[in-house]
Amino acid sequence: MKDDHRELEHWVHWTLLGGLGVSAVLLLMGLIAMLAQGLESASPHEPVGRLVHDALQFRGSAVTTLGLLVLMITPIVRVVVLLVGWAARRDWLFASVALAVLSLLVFSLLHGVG
Amino acid sequence: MLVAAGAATGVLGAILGIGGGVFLIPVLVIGLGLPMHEAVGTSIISVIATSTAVASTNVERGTANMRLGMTLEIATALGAIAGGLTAHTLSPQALEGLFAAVLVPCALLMWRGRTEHASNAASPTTTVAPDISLGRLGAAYFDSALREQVSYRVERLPFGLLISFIAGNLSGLLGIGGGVFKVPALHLLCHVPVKAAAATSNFMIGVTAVASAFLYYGRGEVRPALTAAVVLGVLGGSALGSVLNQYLGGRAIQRLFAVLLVAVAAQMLYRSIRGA
Repeated sequence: MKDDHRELEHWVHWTLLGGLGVSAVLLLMGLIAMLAQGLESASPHEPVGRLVHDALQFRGSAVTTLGLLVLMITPIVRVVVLLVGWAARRDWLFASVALAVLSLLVFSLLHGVG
Repeated sequence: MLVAAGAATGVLGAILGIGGGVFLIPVLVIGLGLPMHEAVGTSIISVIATSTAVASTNVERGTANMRLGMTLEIATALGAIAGGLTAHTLSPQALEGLFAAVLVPCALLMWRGRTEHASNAASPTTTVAPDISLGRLGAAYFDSALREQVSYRVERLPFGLLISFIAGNLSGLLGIGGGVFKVPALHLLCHVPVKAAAATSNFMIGVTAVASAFLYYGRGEVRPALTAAVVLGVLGGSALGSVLNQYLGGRAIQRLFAVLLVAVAAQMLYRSIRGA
């Protein structure tokens, strides 16, 4: 049981670190590209598919915005990791708590970004 | 310029043990002339970055109580969504006045040396006897300062939920982490050891901040280039501050910046009254 808990802590640790690392690299690359291409910003309502497409074309504003979205999504992924981890261990009480938190975050995501 | 502003607030936050938002917002509003709502949007994203960096370490060390954190996140996320929605209806002057009011208890805690650095020192804990159950929310961790295993039960959860809701609400309204309210409450009301309280509070801040960040982002109050520069600066500054903290973390510096924070509060209050 204790080893199970440690394993879950490792997963959360790497989720947070991975999300932060990817986001920091995208933000840095995006800023450098924006300085080279001009400081035009992407619209907050631009679809994610379009953002990814533009980022692959190395459009600075799209890469920067994608970096911010990765940073914002990282804590949500952390909640999903714990939800799945607790459900896999049949800890239904805390899996339900994680599901409630996830629902609130999805509400905010849909309300904010649509 | 923006990277430097972010770095300076990151260094100060790490040295003084107070979340970066408390310093970042005055720098953005007073120093760089950013509208209050955009400053809050920028700050809330930088709070996600610093919280994520610190939480990843605390989780690995086992000091963050993930079950307690997730339970309290229901309250902080609800509070943050309410705060993020309310902020849209408030004038910049009202937000600046509220921010000034929140700076005062932060300055007081800094003056008395009760910031999150207290968690780095050996502190009285609520270690329970081996034969007593820790309950569903209790936990244990190894305290390197005390060189012993610390076990604790979580008492009076409803108080923790109430304070978490208020802290989440202030976070959503003002773009701060809210740890300055949660850490003392978790320690004094719920009997969580200070080190675990600080780590658990930090663990919660990422989710709390995200709950309102999407609302600011969707309203166009997060400028990507500006925010990216600040986030990178804050991350670099926090890392540098953790190193400098060993040499500069004395009480005299804490008190100097506590006075500075009161002066900033007065300036924000003046702007709020003048602009109203």
